[in-house]
Amino acid sequence: LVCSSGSCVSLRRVGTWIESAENEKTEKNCVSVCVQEQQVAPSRNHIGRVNRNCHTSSILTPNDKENAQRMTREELTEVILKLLVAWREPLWHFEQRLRPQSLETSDRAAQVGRMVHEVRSGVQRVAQKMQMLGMIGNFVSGLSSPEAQAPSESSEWQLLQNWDLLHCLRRDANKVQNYLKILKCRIVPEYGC
Amino acid sequence: MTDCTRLKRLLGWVLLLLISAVFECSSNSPPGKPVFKDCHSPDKETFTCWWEPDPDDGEDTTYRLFYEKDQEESRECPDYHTAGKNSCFFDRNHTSIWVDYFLTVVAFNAFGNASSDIFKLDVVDIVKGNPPENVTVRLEFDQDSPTIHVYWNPYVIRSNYGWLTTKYQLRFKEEDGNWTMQNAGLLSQFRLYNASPGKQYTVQVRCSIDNGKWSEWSSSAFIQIPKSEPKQQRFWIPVAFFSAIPFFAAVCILYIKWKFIKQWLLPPVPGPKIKGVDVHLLKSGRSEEVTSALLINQVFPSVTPWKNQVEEYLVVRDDNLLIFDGLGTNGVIISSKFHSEANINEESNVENNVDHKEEAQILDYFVEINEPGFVDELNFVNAMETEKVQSINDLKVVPLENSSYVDIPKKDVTVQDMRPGDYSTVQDIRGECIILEKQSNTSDSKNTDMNRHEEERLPDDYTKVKEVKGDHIVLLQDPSCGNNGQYTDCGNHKSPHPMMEKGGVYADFLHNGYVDNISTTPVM
Repeated sequence: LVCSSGSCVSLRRVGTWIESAENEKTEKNCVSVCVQEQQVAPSRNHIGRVNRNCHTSSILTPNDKENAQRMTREELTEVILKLLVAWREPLWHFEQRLRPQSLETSDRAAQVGRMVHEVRSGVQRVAQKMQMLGMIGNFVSGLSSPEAQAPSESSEWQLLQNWDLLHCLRRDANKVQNYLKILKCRIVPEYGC
Repeated sequence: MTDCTRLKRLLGWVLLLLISAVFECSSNSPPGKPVFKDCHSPDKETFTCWWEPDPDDGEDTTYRLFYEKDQEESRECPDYHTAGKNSCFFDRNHTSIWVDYFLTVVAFNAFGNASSDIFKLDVVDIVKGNPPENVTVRLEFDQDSPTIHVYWNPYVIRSNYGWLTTKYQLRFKEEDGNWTMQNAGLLSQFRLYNASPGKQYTVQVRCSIDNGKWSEWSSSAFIQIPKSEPKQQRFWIPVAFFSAIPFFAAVCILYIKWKFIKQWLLPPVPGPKIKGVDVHLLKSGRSEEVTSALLINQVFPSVTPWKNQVEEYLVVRDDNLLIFDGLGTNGVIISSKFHSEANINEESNVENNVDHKEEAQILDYFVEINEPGFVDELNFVNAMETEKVQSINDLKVVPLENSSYVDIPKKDVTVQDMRPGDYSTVQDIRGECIILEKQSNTSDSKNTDMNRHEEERLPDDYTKVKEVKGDHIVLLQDPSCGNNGQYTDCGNHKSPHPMMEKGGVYADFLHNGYVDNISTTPVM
């Protein structure tokens, strides 16, 4: 899959809580999720019809810099984890759905799923460490059983077409990426943010 | 003349009308469709869009931009002026990210309107920075070598808490040279070491935000490196001068005392003395007398030459050798160790003139040609893990064979030192004369390069071993047997192992490698 729209979903692995800054070779950590969208919509009528309600729209996410920076560390971590958890099942089903059509695409989807899982476990480790250090409190409930949230939205994503699903994924991945960067600056002031 | 002037005036007016019609100061038809040029966001908090009007539009055409944000109602552009003509600037209050915008530009004039195509965007996708400002260059000296220290205003002045990640790239060139690109990382400064003295450098910087599009290049900064100080040159000249004096003295001494030195370094070698040969005869160059003098003292055994030239080539090796495979190449199996002894002498234990240097050379050679093969194998393993489909036929894995017999492949493999260079094959023996085959490669015996040509010549001189009887008898194969290098084809041979099992004597006997016609071994 070659990304025609230009931007790349870059899910970087959050290994330890002291994470390096932007990786020069983003190709390695970058999984191209291709959205076959054009920047010109076919017709005006389409606008009202395009119902890109991602299944994660119920999760409240800050949509600009001020709001994002106003969030506390706990809230930020919670939002990140919610987003990551919400994509676990959809990605798996997406991969299964693609498998009969195209092996390569399905493999790519599997790769994305694995990366999402890695990022999630990385963030969980970071959160645990933060808790140990007393940087965040009152977070245990959300952290220990994130799976409990999943069943409630189980049906919405099944209605999404492939294209919409990828679009939602790309957007959510970008959100996670940005929130992680803000969180990283909060945790490690030495980065000089 | 009033008619003339009136005519002129009329013409003037007509011309003016024509010109005004050409320039269309006022339109007389609906406007053309505008087209979106580009949209950028320099900071993920604001963004600007530019459009291009239809070139035929009149001056009185107005443009208005409307946008819809994720199923909200249509709104008009908040700011048409900040970014210049035919632009729309969205400030912080009007910008949301991770939200789809649908933009349209409509051109209005007295005759109608025209809408552009809808332009859809998400602000995070259109991030493109402004070129870095205030690029400054400064000359520094780092251990006497000139260094250019380049620095510029960091892209984000206020702390942004991880909102933007900016990376920089700079390019520089000497006066009229080509640009050299250089990644400058995340910091807003960079040092160029070892600048050439006396040159003028031009430096430019650009940035990329969140791995988005690169910005335009900044304005150039210039710096002139001063020429290297003459003081340094002044230091070296007397040093050179003073070191030259003893050098010239040594040369003079050498010249004067040359004969003594020559005697001491290269003492004269005594000339050769052959019984019955007069050195002066040789010098005078009468060859018949020379050869007769040489031949009188020699006795040659009567050997019948092999008429049939179909013979196999046998190369025998020690059995405890390293054998390499060629991965993915021609499937060559070859032994790494060999002997370069010419004759076998069954009486004396000839020292195995094993040349380890040649061994090492061959090992190196194989490491070289195998490396791409290993790399390919590694890639293959990696590819397997990522579940890509690859052709397994690309890899040829040849099993190791633990035998002491080696097939010489007929394929084009140049092997170093496969055989010694100091053979010459016997073509025929007539009476007392041995006619040697003229070989271009064997004349210089030190030449170790072997090509296939020489390889193919080789079989002429060698016979295949059929059987070993006892300690002294080697039965050679009937040469009409076969000519394809496979020693198993003639039916008389089984696998090499039974041969080996015949006893250590066998191994010793053929230890030195070659069986040739001129040996004293009885031949059938």
